Amino acid sequence: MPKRNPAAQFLLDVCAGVRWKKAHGAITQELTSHIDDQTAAYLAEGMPPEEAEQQAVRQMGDPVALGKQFDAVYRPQPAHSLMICIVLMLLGGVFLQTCVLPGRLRVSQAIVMVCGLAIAAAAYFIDFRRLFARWTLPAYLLCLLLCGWLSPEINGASIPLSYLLLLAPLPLCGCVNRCRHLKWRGLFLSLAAALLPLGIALFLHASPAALAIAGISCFLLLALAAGTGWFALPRRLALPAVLLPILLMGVCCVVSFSHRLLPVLFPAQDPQGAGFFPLTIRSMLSDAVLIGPGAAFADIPNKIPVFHDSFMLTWLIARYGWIVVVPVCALFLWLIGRGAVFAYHQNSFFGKLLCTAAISVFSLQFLAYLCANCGLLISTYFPLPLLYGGNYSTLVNLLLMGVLLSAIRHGGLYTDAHMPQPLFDYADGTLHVHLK
Amino acid sequence: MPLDKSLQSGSTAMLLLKLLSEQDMYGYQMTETLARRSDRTFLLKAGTLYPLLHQLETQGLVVSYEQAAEGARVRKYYHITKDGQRALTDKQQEWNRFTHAVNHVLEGGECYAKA
Repeated sequence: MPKRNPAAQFLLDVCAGVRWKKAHGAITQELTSHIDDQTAAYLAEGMPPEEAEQQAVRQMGDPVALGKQFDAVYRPQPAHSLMICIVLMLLGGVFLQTCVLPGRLRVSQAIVMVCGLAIAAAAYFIDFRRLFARWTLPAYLLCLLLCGWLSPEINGASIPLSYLLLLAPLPLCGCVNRCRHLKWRGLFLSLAAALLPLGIALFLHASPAALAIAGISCFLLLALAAGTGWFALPRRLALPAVLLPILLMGVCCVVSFSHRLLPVLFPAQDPQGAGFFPLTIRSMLSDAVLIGPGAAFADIPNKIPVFHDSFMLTWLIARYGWIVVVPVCALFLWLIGRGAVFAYHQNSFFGKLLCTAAISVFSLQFLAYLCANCGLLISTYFPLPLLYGGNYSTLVNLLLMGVLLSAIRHGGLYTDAHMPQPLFDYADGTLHVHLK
Repeated sequence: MPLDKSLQSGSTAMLLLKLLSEQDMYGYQMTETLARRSDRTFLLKAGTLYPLLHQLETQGLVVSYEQAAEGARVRKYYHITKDGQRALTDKQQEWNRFTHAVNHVLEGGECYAKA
């Protein structure tokens, strides 16, 4: 067996004491750099190379003790409170669909819930920085295209495409993370990475709600990067450069879907009758009491089954009173607030991006649902995430929560250093493909 | 005469934060600067330095980033955060109170420093 050099043996001994294997790469890289610097200093003093390396390794201290100290610092950070909240929401959904609105829970939904939990658990253990460094955006765009072309449209929108679009901010995190210090090139690459899926989805008839949620979330990520100087550009230039194309895209969407905005502004004057729901909801809410059924409750629920799905919260308020809002909103606001706090406290920019992406998409769905259930939107399109969702919604939101938990878990590892190599790299007029 | 290590252990984080408040540094640079500025009294080993730096990073007092060095090498630099600046101010005040009190005791006087 060939004898290892002292530095390699030292690093192996240190890593042997660190139980979290994912941390070994980061530890090895930093200690190697230190040993190299120390060796170079000894060489400059005139020491022979072999002796310089041995002396440099000796200067590092006891590898076993160092490994133990690193082991205490490098630990996965599970967010138990968030996990409990997510499970509570799912259980709350089961309770609603079995006890409050009996017969709503289908077997397929229960199976999807179990699959969604498995997806969330798998996402929880994935190092997304490594995953997003390589081929995620092209693969995601391909999925979007295939999904848009293959899936049928219902009411003018492709449902699977709309849900897939909600995941657009995730690969964008990987793209933005790779564009650090690339100045205008980085900013425009990130912008293109944000606009490309939105443009494809608009072309392939995703729902306006999905476009709005994905667009706002992508804008938040780009604004975060531009505002913190991630592209090494002055904030006064970078922020407008991000804002303008997104605003243009927003204007295009508003023009495209203007016929759906009119009933929101003037529900009573809508000739096609789409203002019926906002007006009915406002009437139901104005008649609702603190505890117990409201005056308008008896007329509505049996006539309009949609009140059990899209406007379930309004139905619950009309049936049981405003008191219902308290636990529902408390649960959501707590989860969103806690997620935001975790996002703020992430050490690395990538961790911040990933947490922001997951929590913003989740929050915007909740906000849209809340607005629709206050009579401020025509329809929700997206159900109440986790608590009362359909199959697609449950899968997508559990995946988002898995990503959020994974970002928190790997928070100690995600430093802005140690970037994995991209699949394609263009330098000095040559395209490099890194297969390993 | 070598310095009793227990005297240094409580103040190492403060010394590192002080160095980083002046400029961003990488690990080896910190040990060298500390040794030079303390007249080789504080000879920090990697075994003490890196776990402490990573702990400060976990606490959000410093952040790290990568920067290309000579050749193909890449160095990990540390940068003090706003929380780190605040923690440094607190630690410096704490240290001043402590040394003030110790000096008073050693000089045989009475200390009226606030707890």
